[in-house]
Amino acid sequence: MDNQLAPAERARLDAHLRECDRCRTSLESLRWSVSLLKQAPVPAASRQFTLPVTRTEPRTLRPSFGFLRAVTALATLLLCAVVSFDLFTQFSAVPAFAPVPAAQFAAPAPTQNIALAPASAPTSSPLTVAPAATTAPTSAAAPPRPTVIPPQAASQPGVLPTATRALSAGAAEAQATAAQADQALKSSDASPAAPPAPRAAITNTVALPSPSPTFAPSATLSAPTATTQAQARVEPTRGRDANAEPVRGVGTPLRVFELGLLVLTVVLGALTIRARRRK
Amino acid sequence: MNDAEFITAAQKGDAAAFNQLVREYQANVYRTAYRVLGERAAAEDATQDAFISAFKHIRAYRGGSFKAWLLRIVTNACYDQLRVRQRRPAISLEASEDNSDEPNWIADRGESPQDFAERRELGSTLQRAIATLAQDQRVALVLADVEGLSYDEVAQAMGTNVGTVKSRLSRARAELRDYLTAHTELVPPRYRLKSEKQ
Repeated sequence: MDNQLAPAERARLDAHLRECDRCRTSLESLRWSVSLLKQAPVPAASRQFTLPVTRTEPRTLRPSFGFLRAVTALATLLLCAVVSFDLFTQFSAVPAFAPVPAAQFAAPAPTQNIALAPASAPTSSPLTVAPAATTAPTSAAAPPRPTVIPPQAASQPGVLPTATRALSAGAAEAQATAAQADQALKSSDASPAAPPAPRAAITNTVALPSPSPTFAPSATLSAPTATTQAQARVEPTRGRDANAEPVRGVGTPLRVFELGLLVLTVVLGALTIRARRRK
Repeated sequence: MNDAEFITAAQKGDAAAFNQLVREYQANVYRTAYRVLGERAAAEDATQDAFISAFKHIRAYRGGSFKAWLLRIVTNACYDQLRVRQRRPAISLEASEDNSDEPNWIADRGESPQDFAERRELGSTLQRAIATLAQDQRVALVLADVEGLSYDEVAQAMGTNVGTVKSRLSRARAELRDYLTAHTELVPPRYRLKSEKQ
């Protein structure tokens, strides 16, 4: 009837039909009834079925399943990339060797720094001292030695940048000199004119230039103690300190972005599943 | 513009483009609905419902035979009408189809009044024969033999498989043939089977 038989089956049927009147009659009657069905008219409809354009409902833009699936996959990949980046940057951070800021070297006892040379005097040697005054008996003092300003002193306001030198080289000598000065002070009478030398550690005799509001009146130089020496060394900061990059908390922008991306991915996944069911 | 362009425009919400498709396929859709339901008013309702539903779900059309896709929608609309009819049986006021004043029967050009009358009589007889079939057989027969859909398209429209379609179609044809041969007097002479004529 519908020409769906294979050639071999069709040949077998034709051969049978040539011999069997009953089957041939049955097939002819079937074809006749179907032909009548195709010829039979249908009463025409009384109207057209076009939709009124003005009254057409505005179609809600509903994204297709394929579009939602693609967007969900993209959001998932982006989420994985952001999370991977976050984890990578966190666990691959090397310990930071940050130099300890100079402010940490500020000693509890205020020490006054000494400008060894006036700023206006360009000297080749930044450690030129003037023997105008001494804070300690010069006789007992060691010969003037180049005074060095500890590193922390260099950052103190008022300290001339031309009068700084690393302290480590003269630390031992300064200690020895201080001991000698101390001995000298104990043994001799202090001159009334001479101001009592502060019992604070005096490492070197320092000849101050003429008093200047810029410079400290008394030449006291705090001895580089072992503590300050330790402080002067650059210490590695283990882990993180207050000056290093803060630990990523929950409220950091990256974490907020990750959370938002996660929510978006979940929403898109739900919409995709619903679109598939609707499809 | 061809059908594909109208469909694309309709999927974007262009109702005017969709109406072009309606004008092209409304005869097929209405004929199917009429053959399945047997009543003009019910067929018009089912046809209108089918086109409204088709426009709402035009984005669900993924290609293939657009005619088959439309006929699937009207088939479902016809099933809905039949379910309502079974729950609330009603007698149609248009039961008599012999009313020659009915303007719905359109005569072909050059057709004599006798031929027009015989053709209208044939249509009525066929409709009675189809009405004796089961719903599934009726739908399969109309889609395959009236609208010319393939087995696959009929299966898609009916939501079943090809084997079931072949079975329903075979039984529907046999029952139609039996009815017509049993009521030969209802068939106009020039449409009767040659062997019958003889």
